[in-house]
Amino acid sequence: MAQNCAQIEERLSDYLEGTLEGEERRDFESHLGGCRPCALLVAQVASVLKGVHALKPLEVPHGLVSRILGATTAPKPKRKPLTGRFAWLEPFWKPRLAMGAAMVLATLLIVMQLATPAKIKKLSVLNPVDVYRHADRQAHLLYARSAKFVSDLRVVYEIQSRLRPESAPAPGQRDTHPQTPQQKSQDHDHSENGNTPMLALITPGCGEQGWE
Amino acid sequence: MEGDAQLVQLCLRGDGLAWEELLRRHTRRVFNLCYRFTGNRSEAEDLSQDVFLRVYRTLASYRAEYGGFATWLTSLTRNLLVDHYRRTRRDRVTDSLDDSLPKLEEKHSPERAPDKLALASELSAQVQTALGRLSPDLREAVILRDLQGLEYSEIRQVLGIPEGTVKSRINRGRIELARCLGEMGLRPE
Repeated sequence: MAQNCAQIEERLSDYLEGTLEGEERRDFESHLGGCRPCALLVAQVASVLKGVHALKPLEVPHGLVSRILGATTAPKPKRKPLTGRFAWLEPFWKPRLAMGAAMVLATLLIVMQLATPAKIKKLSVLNPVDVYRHADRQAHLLYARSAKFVSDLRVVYEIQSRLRPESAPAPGQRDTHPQTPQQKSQDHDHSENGNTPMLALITPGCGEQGWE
Repeated sequence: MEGDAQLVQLCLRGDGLAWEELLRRHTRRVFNLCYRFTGNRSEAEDLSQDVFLRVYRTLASYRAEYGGFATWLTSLTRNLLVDHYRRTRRDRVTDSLDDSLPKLEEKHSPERAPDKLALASELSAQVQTALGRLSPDLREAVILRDLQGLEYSEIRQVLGIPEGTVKSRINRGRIELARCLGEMGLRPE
């Protein structure tokens, strides 16, 4: 079967490595005989491969193996023990203990930050009674703010839930539900304008959805 | 002489001489792989050191039943090269290789004719320049097959792709390499 140039390119490595056999090899060579660009390409690749395969590997740079040995098997330098004034810290100068001590210190700092006034002008402020009073006051303030937040959320939710049934009445229910004159006029306004700016702020999109 | 797998076992037991022997056996190949891929001698040295540092730390993860030590080492080297390539992609100027040309034997040896040595050196430099112009996936395929001499099955393990894809990349890489060298003036014999 005759092969085209794209197929020749695809099978080029197989041909050069000798894995093309029989009819495939004959077709390949037959194409090369009639196609100069393909023949040139095959010759070029064959020549390059011959040159590349003949290249010797580069020598290892001088000292590289020693450097790797030094980095991997050299003994780690021992830390000098603490002396003088800080010698008493030596039993505690271990990573685990140091980490634990750092965490305790951080916790104390955070608790003091919350439990004490913002500006500590003198150390007498840190007496236990004042610390307790301050902490108690902070706790009550936090509780009060949370309660107000929840209460505000409730108010908003109630407003929204009362407005929603008015903003999107079901088609069959418009005539059957008795409406006060105020509600009727509101409906009239809404149906004309299509939206109410104030309600749109509270319930976005209500002006677009249910009025038509 | 022990095989690589036995040397690894000795290394894991703390035998420093076994580790040194392992280094001496494989450093040249790793360095060549790093150099041919990066085209930069000092980068190749640093990367080779990184490879063996990682090997030293993760030697316990090598399993002889999954393949030869050389394949595992090549795979690890290739992964580091990929990471390095991604990290330095932005800084790279693709067409120039400024500290790249290999310093082959510079002194004349009486056994070799000087012109053959010069030709080999020139071809090596030209091949390196042409390799630098290939895309990374074609470059690594050609290096592993034609410069490192790996079998298709080994390359498949190293790259983690099907053998058909390996053959396709090698084929395209060779054609591109020949075209680049042709543009640089290298003509077929």
